[in-house]
Amino acid sequence: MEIELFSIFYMIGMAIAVVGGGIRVWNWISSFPISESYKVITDIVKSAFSTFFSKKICYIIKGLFLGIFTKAKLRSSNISNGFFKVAFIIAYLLLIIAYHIKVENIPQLKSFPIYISFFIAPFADFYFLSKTSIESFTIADAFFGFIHDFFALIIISYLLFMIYKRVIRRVHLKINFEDIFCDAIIILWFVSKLMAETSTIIAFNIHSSIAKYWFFSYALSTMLKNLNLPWLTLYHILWNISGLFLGVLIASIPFTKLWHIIVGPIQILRRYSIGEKPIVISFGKKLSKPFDLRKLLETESFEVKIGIKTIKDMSWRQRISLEPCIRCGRCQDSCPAYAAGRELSPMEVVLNLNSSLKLIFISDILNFMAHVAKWLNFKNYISSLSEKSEKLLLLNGKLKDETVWSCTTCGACVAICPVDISNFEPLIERRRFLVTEGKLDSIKMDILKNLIEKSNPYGMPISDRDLWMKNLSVKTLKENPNPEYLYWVGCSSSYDKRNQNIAKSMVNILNKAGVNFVVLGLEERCCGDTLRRMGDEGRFQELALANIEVLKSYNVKKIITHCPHCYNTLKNEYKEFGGDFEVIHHSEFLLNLLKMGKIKLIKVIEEETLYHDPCYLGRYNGIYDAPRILLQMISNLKVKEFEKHHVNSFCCGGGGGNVWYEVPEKEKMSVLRIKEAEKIGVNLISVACPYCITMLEDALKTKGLEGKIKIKDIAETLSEVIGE
Amino acid sequence: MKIVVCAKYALDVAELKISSGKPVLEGARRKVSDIDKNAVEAAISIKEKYGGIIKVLCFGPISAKEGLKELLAMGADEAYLIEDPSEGMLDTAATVEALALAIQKMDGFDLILCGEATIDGYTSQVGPRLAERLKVPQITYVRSIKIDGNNVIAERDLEDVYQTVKVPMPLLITVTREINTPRIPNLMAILKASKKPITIWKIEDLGLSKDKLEQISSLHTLSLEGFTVERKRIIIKDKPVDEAVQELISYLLKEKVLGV
Amino acid sequence: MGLEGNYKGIMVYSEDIDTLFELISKSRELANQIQTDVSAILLGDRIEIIPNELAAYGVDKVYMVENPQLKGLIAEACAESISIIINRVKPEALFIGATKRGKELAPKIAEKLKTGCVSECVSLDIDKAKRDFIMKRIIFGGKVVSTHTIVKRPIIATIPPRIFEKKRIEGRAAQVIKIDLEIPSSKFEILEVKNKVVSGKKIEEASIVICGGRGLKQKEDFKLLDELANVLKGQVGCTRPIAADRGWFTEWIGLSGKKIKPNLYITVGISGAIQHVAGVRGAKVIVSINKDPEAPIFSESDYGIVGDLYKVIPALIEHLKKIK
Ligand SMILES: Cc1cc2nc3c(=O)[nH]c(=O)nc-3n(C[C@H](O)[C@H](O)[C@H](O)COP(=O)(O)OP(=O)(O)OC[C@H]3O[C@@H](n4cnc5c(N)ncnc54)[C@H](O)[C@@H]3O)c2cc1C
Ligand code: SF4
Ligand code: SF4
Repeated sequence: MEIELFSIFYMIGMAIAVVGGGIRVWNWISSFPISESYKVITDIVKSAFSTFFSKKICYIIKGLFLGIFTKAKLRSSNISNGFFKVAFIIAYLLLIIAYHIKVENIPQLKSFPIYISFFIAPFADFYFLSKTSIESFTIADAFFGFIHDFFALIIISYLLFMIYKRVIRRVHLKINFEDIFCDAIIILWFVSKLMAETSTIIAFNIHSSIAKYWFFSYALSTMLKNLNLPWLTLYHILWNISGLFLGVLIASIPFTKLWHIIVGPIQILRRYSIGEKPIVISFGKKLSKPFDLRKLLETESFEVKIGIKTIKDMSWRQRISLEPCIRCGRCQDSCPAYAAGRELSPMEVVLNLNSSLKLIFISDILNFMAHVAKWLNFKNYISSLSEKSEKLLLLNGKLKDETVWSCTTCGACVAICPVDISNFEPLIERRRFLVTEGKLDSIKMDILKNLIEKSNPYGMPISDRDLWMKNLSVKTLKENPNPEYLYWVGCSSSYDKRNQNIAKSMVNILNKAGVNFVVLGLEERCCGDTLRRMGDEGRFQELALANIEVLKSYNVKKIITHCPHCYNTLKNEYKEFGGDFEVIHHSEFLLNLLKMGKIKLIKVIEEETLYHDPCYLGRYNGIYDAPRILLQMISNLKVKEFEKHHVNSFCCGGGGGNVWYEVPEKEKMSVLRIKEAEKIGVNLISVACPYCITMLEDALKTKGLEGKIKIKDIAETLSEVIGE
Repeated sequence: MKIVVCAKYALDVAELKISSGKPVLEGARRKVSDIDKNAVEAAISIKEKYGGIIKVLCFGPISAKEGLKELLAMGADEAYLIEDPSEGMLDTAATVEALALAIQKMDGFDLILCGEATIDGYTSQVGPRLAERLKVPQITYVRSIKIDGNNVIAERDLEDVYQTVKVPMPLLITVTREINTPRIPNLMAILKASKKPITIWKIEDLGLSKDKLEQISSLHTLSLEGFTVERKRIIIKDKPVDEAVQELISYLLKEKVLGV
Repeated sequence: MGLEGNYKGIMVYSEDIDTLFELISKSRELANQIQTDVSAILLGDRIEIIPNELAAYGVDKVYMVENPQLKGLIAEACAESISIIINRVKPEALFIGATKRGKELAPKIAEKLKTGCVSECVSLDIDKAKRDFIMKRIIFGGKVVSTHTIVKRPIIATIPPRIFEKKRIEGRAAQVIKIDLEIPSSKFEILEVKNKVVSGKKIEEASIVICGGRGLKQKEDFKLLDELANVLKGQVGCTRPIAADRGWFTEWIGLSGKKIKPNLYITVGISGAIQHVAGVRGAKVIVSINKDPEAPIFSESDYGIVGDLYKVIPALIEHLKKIK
């Protein structure tokens, strides 16, 4: 008894999937030269192979589970999600293993190439169940049957839970048809399959010693077998129906979010193959480097494409990396900009770009038609076709300027995304485009101008940069050419009267501890963080190279800085431009001084404090503990946690250049953060970043909480307890 | 349309250092005078709307090439630098003589654009003098420009009124800061522009000589007296309100800032 | 040169009558030192000023040109008229009021006469021995005072309003000389003249700005600032919290708002955060009123009053009204 239509449905589904998948792959590689496209594909394949045949596979599997679990852990409500997902993947893998043990005995299946097993394993039970006789029954059958039903139940309950969340609890404001469709088609497939199994057990009167391993269908069959139904006919109908559902499911993979089943693993493979760490601890996210200024100057060819005007301006890597999105909405939930009511949802960004990505194929067809028209000399059509083809790819409508400038690059979205999507990377790319085109409002223009002309965002004179250290005992490199450490002050603490106090506290502590340190004084310039995040890559590199040159000319080896933005730039980004320094954040440095007994704590602070994790210190660089331990070491100071802390920390609103301009929003990010603190009820918020001070103090004013809550850098607090 | 923009590579006064009562002019930072960038921007928007070619012209030190590169990067098509033999000691009459001869050396113009004044000297003289020297009408303090056939329709910002005027080309316009926000050329554009040639003329190329210019230049500078412009920080406290206010008003009267 | 001997007397011109009085008074003082005459020029299509009014400030001669071409005081026509008069009268110095119109006129005349011109002098002296005029002006963004002399005649200088005082001298009369001139008709056509409404003016263009901060407790209190602005003919602005947090206005002054460079900037109840101060660095004189003597704004100010703004501002308005 063969199941006639089943395989036809399956084949049709596969065929559609292959064509659809082909189109999607086309979208990745279109407009890259053949050689490059070839490289793209071989790169992926190679890295896939090399990982399979190396120890890396263990890391990958570990990373996969760790990723899914720890990411789920970021939000307690998602634990169920993570659990389901892990159970799903484990069950799936077990299923495949069992399948491989068993497939030897089934000639029909044996003829399939081995990698197809990934696709057939879940429905092979049809063969296993109906073709297995008591004589040939092995433990593998039992194993397979058990895992199979277990797997089916997990999926069904998981998806029902998802539908409940989407339709009844309405986690995302809008119900999305695609989501429901994907959930429903899988549920239907599995339900029909379980029913078909049940009918098989009854119709062929399969011995309970075998059937009982298909425990769910078996249980059903014992309940239903006394019903007088045409079981044999039902057997045919149900299997074919399940085949139909499967066909539809397979066919829809390239056209729906189910695509992540394919690209998710590629994403992870790719990340591993280029040596990026899983994002769990710190994601060390680097921005792409569209060019290297030194090379350009050398070759004197300045024709480089910067930023994304059209979707095709994205590199293949960037294109692929967007695709696995499953619309889970976690990025949106964790995005402070979204919470503040800004015109930005990291999920929408990814989805919009994905929808643009799909247009590449259509645009290429139009373009092809334009060529044909040209060839046939249909003059009327040529320009309109190629115009349309170009228009389709523009990103104007997909990435609104307001959205692009709303992001603080805090990285909360990237850290939580289960498939490792860099939601904000395209926003920076778009900024690069806007900067290249000069499409900025006057305020942002002024900031860039200030940075270019005065090497600081405020537009203060270069010659005022060392005013903060008047009357302090600080030496510059010129005065002390052989220091152990260079203390990098940064723009904010050089010019902002409020934040100069951090630098002054640092100087006090370092001097007390007898550290041999210097500052650059007038030779210091902005590190370039703002320029880079605001999209002026060229100016950033110019500044970075100039800074590196100065640092190298003095043979600087070790740099201390209290600004996480300077820290991240000097430590992680200067490397790419030949600046390899040992960069130490003051939280770690000061903690070390304390531990080594170089500074004595002579005062107590009767206070409770919250520690706010700066994005560029925590998420970007994984420094969570040092500042906390430092605070805990201060007598009587009780350190509490925000509701959102560590990798979950909620941005103050200052990163990504946002501290210099205004973004329309319903409620300031900083105010949201302060509200959290207000609820917990502390009088002191400790931070380790000058921008956080600026933003949070601003929020205090907005909320009228000045005097009730203080914001202090850890260095300021420490300086107070070691005395003047 | 042929547009000439005159731009000065001026002292960056914000960075100017004063040392024992004298400005340190040697090695002082320079930049293209801000308002001249507004003029270049205005020229670019005219070009974008009505087409044309933009030439920027500078009378200044050879280092002004840096500034001209920036203007080329903004969108100017050609750059001309007349090397100043005198290290900035000539007056506006001599500057204008050189500029005028250089402009006459070019193949005509429809529009000359200048900034209303430069950030360092702030004389506001070059525009009107140049118009007079070239015998073309001038429209000063312009905050918006429209081209209507062969006429320029411009809105001028005078003390008490905005005046809209219509003048046929060729003519000279001086613009105010408010006319636009100059674009910031990105680094790539600057690097690319660095490959565009800058025509450098010696004054001899214009039929001038140092002596001749010095003769034209009748304004002599006797001294430059620098003082550090920190805020004065005169804070009146612990005084009855009326007394404090009167004291403040007397200071402000001395400063002559209480209204025109 | 060499012609100096032929050039005698000081001549003044300004279309702004008060400035003209000031120039005459100052010129009188200088003329007395070198025993020479002061003459003034009046231009227009219809002149309403009574020449003898000018005499009261010390003018000896008044040259009057009434000509339809001088309607609207177009620079070309004015420059033409003045240079013709100068060529006839040959004064050794010409002082022009440095209003915007004056500033575009002076260099034109200088170019016509091929002589030097000093813009916006803040001090005028005479070296009696050499009969040279010594002029000072402020350059380089206020950091440098430069001292000049001009070796040709006539020397030309523009002088901003309110630099010198006008002083009435009783019992003088002036000779009025009407001059008829051929002034070529101008291609310069004035299409429209709009009055600047002070309140509608862009804050970037205002020469006096009064800025309120969080020291003002309610929106109504900004009426105080409006009143002050009225007296001073200035504009009112605010800090970001006032606009962005409280929503009383839509614009603010500062790094993330409007950047301004007024002559006089008065802060009222503003603490002086760098984001604010960075937007007003170009202001010539900054005056602050704040009740907190420790407020950072004071170190960014030229003058300050430590006190309650609700007492200081009304007093300020009252006293300013008196002197106006
Ligand atoms: C990203 C960002 C961008 C910003 N951009 C800008 C910007 O462009 N412009 C801007 O202005 N701000 C900006 N800010 C805000 C800035 O940091 C300050 O918070 C703000 O300027 C403070 O405004 P304020 O001086 O009015 O209020 P406060 O700092 O609260 O000062 C009020 C002052 O009034 C005084 N006062 C109170 N009552 C009286 C009284 N009765 N009489 C006299 N004095 C009194 C107090 O002593 C106090 O000094 C920005 C902030 C951020 C975070
Ligand atoms: S980086 Fe932060 S602000 Fe930007 S999209 Fe992601 S979560 Fe939102
Ligand atoms: S980008 Fe990542 S976190 Fe955001 S919806 Fe897509 S899969 Fe979820």
